[in-house]
Amino acid sequence: MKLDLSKYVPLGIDSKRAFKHSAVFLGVSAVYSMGFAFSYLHARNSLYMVEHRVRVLIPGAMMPDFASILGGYLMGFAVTAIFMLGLAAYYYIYHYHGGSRSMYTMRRLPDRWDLWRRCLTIPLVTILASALAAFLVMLVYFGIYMLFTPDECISPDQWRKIWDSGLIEYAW
Amino acid sequence: MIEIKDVSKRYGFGKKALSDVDLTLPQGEIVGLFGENGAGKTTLLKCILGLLKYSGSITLDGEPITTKNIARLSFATTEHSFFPELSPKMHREFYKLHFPKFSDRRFNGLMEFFDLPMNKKAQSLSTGQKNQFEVILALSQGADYILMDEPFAGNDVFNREDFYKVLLGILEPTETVILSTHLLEEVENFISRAVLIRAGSIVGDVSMLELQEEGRDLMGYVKETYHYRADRVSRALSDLTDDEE
Repeated sequence: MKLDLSKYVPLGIDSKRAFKHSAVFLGVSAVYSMGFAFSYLHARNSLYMVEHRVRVLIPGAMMPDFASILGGYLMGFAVTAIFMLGLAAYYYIYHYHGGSRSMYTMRRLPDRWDLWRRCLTIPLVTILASALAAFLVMLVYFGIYMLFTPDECISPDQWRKIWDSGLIEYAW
Repeated sequence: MIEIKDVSKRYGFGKKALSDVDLTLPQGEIVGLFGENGAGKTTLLKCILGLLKYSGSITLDGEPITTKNIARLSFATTEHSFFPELSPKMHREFYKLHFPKFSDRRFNGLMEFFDLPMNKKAQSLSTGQKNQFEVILALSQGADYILMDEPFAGNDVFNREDFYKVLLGILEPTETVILSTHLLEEVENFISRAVLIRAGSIVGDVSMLELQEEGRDLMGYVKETYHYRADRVSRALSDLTDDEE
């Protein structure tokens, strides 16, 4: 069954284009988050020194915490979410544009949810997708951090530190 | 029947736009709603439609107006309420989806009568055509009560005259039109009742039959109710001329 996307945007807005724009925002946010890889590699390389042309761990060297390496690389998702709030407002105001107040028609429809469905679906779906993507990306990066960092260089309680660091609050 | 009881409306902390309005609008009437600019005509129509918050009560056949019965009311406004980016054809599909009693026959007939293009975006129509389209949508929705707020502003007199004729011809006996307009003389022979509103209050409510029986015309009734000073113009002119001298 084909989903009719036009029911989820204000009348007159190209639904496919609107969904594509949201996907682009998410994609750019994901690409931006990949900056983590550079920070991680840089921090990881700092654990080593070269002795007789062999890379060896610096004794007592510790990897910076995952939260500090991740830093603001999830910021793109937060920016996307904020932009989506703006988009919801734009979709609402859109019903007053073009020399007509189509809001009057929308507000007197027997289906009271139609207006809200059209104004909020893309913003809310994108915000949820952003949150989910940010969480998944963080999990993947955390996995990379734990897997590829020498055990002796990782300070304990990394998972707890993510939450303590305020990173999540910072990102959202 | 629409029953309006003790309805008041105030915008912000300003003056009351409506003040304790009581009005009953039975089915099958064509009611003219008259009043000067800012008298409260538009506000009253918007309150009936639930587009504005108000105090008091407005019921439709004893029930409050909610999403359950809102389809029984339609609205044509000079501000326009169509979707600018959509063509009339697309409007028809949208209305059919939301208003089960939408009349395809009436819509197509009126579109043809006014010679409006079916596939052009509504925003690209001329002002007159936009007004016509607005009214066509309101008439085709399948509503029992058709609320019109200055629907012919910007239309030429021939267009308006044609429209009155068509309207009289197509209206079912159960359909009610509440028409807010300044064009007193034009609608005089077309309405069955006149309601006068001034500074947010109903100051006159008369059936055209009553006026006819009393041998009065609508303009006379309005002037009388509004305490119109016939010497107003001559006095102003004389004052102005004196000043210049």
